[in-house]
Amino acid sequence: MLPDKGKISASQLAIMIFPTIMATAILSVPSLTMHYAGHDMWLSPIWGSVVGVAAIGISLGLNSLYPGKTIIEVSSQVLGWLPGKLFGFVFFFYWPHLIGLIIRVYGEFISSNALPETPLFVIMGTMTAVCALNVRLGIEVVGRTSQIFVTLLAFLLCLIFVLLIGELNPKELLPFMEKGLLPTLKGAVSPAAWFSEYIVLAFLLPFVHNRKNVTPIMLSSLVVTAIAMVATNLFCLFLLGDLTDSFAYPVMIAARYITIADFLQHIEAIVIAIWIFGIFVKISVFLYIFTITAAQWLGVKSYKPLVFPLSYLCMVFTYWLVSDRPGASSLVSTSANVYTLVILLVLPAALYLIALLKRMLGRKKKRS
Amino acid sequence: MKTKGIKYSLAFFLSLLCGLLLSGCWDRNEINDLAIVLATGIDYSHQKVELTAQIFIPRKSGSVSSTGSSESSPSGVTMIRTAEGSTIAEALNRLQRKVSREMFWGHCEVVVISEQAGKQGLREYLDFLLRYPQFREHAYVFTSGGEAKEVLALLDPLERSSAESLREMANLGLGSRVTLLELAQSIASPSGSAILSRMLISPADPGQKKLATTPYAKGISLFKDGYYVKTALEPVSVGVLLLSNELNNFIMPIELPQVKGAFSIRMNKVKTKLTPSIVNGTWGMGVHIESEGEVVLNTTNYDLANPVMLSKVEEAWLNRFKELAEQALQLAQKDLSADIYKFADQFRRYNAGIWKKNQENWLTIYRNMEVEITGNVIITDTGKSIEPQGIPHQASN
Amino acid sequence: MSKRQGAGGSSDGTVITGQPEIDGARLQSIFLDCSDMVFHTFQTNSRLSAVCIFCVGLCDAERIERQVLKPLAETEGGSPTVSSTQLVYTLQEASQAILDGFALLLMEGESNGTIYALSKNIGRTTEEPAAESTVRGPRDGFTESLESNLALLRMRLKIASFKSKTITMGTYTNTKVTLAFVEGLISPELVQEVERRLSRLKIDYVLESHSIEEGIVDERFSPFPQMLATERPDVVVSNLLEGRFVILVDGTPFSLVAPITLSSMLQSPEDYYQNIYISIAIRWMRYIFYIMSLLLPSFYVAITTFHQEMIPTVLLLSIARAREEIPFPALVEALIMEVSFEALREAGVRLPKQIGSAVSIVGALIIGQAATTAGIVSAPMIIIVALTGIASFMVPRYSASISTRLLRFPIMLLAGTLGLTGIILAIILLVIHLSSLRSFGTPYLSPIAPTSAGKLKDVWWRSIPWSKSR
Repeated sequence: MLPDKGKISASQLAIMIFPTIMATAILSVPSLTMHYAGHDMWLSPIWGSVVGVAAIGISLGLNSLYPGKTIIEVSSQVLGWLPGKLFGFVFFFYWPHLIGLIIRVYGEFISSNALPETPLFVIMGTMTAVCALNVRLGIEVVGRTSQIFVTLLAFLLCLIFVLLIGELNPKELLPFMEKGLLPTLKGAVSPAAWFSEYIVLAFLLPFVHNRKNVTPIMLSSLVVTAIAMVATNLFCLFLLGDLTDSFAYPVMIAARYITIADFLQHIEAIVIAIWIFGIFVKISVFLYIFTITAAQWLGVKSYKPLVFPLSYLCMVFTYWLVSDRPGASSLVSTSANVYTLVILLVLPAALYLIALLKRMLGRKKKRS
Repeated sequence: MKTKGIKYSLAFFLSLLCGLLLSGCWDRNEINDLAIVLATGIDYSHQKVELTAQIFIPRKSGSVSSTGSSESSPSGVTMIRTAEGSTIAEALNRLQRKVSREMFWGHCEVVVISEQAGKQGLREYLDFLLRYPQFREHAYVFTSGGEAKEVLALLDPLERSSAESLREMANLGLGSRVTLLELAQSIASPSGSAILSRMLISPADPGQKKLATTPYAKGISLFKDGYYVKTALEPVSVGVLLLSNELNNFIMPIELPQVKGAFSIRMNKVKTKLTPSIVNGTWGMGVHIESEGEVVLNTTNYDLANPVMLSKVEEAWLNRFKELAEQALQLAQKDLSADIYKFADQFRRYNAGIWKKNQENWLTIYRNMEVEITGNVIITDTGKSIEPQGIPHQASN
Repeated sequence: MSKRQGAGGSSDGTVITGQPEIDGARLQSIFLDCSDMVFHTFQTNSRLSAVCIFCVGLCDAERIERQVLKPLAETEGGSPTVSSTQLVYTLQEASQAILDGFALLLMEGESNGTIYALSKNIGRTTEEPAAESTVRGPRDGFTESLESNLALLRMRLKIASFKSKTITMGTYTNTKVTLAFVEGLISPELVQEVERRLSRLKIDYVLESHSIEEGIVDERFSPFPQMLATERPDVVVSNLLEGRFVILVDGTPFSLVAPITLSSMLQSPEDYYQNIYISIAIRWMRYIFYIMSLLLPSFYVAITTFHQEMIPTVLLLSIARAREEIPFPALVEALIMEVSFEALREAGVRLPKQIGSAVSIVGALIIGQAATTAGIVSAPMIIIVALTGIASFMVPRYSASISTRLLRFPIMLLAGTLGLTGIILAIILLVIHLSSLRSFGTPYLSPIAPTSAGKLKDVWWRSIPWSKSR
């Protein structure tokens, strides 16, 4: 039983995923990967996307084994009642953690770049309220709003890239593989953590009404996301060179650097604006998944009454998680990335393996 | 259902109003309450950093009568305020205390650092300028031979402010055009050196107020590892610009051997390409200069329609280039041993492995490096005239 | 007063007896103190008593005399020469027919009455609709008469599958309401749904189509119109051909078209009457100005009070110069100007045409000139407000532009508190609302989200009419 009757199309799902990955990645990934991979950091997202393939594979596999069921329901079926509930509990506990972190990142970013004097609570609170409203109206509305915002986002992002072309210095690419391949692989950990968020498919695939082309659509979505991440890294590198990892938000510096004909300049406020659209979709998607998880875990028929209390819980988590900006940035660093990877990739993978084994054993039993 | 909708929208409006009226508008800053800084100057004297801000005065200049009869005195468009401190941040703090409005640095597009201040190292200034949220990464950086605040105090009769005239000069390509970000990049790069345009103040026209004049570019300030080391004046500065690929808008006289008079060539395009090479452990650098130009003055008696003559001029031009480049190289390699032209970056890109091994003794390698200068110059146009003008015609030839 | 009363008062299903005196008396008691009712008792040529009852304002008395009374009274066995007649059997029906503008004839020995459609044309003739004028395109518009409006549609849709169903609504007004659609193009479920909603609607009076619109739309508390109100028959027809339905209401020239989407509100019929490139360019200009009319003042407030670094230096300096003397914060300045602009606009609508121009001159002089020289409002703000005003007139549908007029103010407040972030939040809220909104089941943002590739073309491009053939 799904706690929401709405349906979305596969392409809407793919569109929702894009900002779900990119919204925060665009801020942190360039400097995080640069930290490890030096100026070969543009390769790291490519390695990282392997994790995305794995996450998509697990989600699609689970969905074909148990069509129309989210991973929470599947876990109870595969593992039995108690272990299944435990499995669900991990996610039930992890989501507010993740959402709290995302909201916190949003708050810190806006606070440091646009509204330094405005209380953090107001910045984060308004956003959370808006997202909760969006989630409460159902998956269809979430799908439609993300469609609109992603169109805007993609258009404006391309525009910024185009405006920056004159300032780029492709020579920064050289020397290629200065320190060999290994650092780029190390640098791939953080994009991998972002790509592991593709596991949201395991929660959202049951809401897709047309399952025909899901696999190619999801894979092309992965390709687009990976390209976007590589492009972001490349642009930061070409513009900022080795200084990339010395800035907190390299993409913002890139946007501030735009000067076209002395008129179009300092459009970082526009960049922030676009980025808010992205983060809005991201928070909405995760908040939706959180409420769905909670509803299924608790066995509630409709997720709607849960939305506002759970959003409030996420707001509280933003304060429980960290107390200052350096704390927030440490939470998106490597150790946190490993934490993310374990929950978003290893756990579902284990579940999938068990499900597969069970299926195979079941078949053998039938034959014998 | 009916009352619900109204209640929701009412609640929304009320909360909006509350947000606004209670303590809202935290970050609101009316333009009237801002002191818009157009340029920043950094000086160093008596062991203290002096920070100077050129602030725009938003008065309607003399209650503009539409006929424009108001006296066009440039005074009153900008003013400067200076404060000193042991660090630049402290100076900023004191500076704010001298200005009644909140200083707004978001439109500061020009940073002038005096050579005196440059001797103390650019690191502190760069860190501040790239860290303090409002400063623009795209601001142009200049040095000044004298005090930076004197440059900022000028009230250019032509432009709105001296900041504007500096910016326009940079855009025209007079001298080197370096933004804050580029400066930071080049100091952080393996070569660790930078060049900046050096600004002086031209004396005011007689009868005009002392400040009613323009800054002008003269020479290049050279920085090594973030510290000011030397000023290159013409003709060396031309060579420095040439090797840094920053030579623009330049007219150069070319003399031919055994010819009276000279050709002046205006360069439309000058490109310098560096090609590093490591052969058998000897490091060498090839400098290739590509240029196109047109003749704007011919004081010789020769006719440029003659291809032989043209190629002679081109040859002389190229030789002049080589000469300039050699002077500039001499200055950088031998006199200063500063890698001003970023040879290190080239080698790093050329072969990262070998570069890494030899990074330690790069300076010795650099000092003794063989530099080969080649070039290719073309005169694309000889102007409207073919023959030399202004020569009394030898009647009846 | 929700209990439905018979039109004529107490008389219910009393049948017509066949004795004109009795029936006439009964009707007379129903229409007691109705000074516009005429009861004409007479004898026919064949000595039968008869009574003719009609409403003097609604019926053409001369035609009744010539076509009904004269043949009956003068020739033997003569009968009225009226093409459109109908029989009624109860007094209720009869009185209703009289109120609808029919003439009723009761004859001795006939247990039914005959009603004759001899109504007088009391409406105006069709003229070009004032609110939706076009440069090129048909110039006729709907009038207050339902019949002639239907006729205007029928003139353009000469097919049998153009259907119309009429019901009466309004306890006190008994207004005729017609639902019209093209069978085969519209989905039958949609028609059923509309009929269901119309029949469920209990309403006391219908003076304008908006009271019906408010009763049957999906979300009545949305500031956005979910039905398109138009006076133009060509707009209605083109919508009918796209599978929509129209509701015509007697007594008002405004018909209601649904289901509509946001993008269709921003399209003008003229788009299809012009060169394709020009109309695409104009369409895009309209989109941009629509957004401007919503956001421009807020954007100005946000960037001048929060993001001064975004303004080009030269512009910032001149704004700073202009604003130097202004005592108000930019937000207050914007609110003052916007409110006075709206007041000016409203006053211009209310005032008689002759004085209207005077108001606009006075408004322009006072607000534009005096306010700037007095240093109350800065010149850039005047430009912004004027541009916003122009932008809001670009929207071809009055009901769409009126919603932006309202929404501008909360967005301005948000922009004043949180700057661009506030504007973005407002946009997000708007988009959330719009994506959850449906007009008769069709998502309001529909060709854009959810996407339907074929129809999307008509949003950013313009479809070519002859290629639309199904």
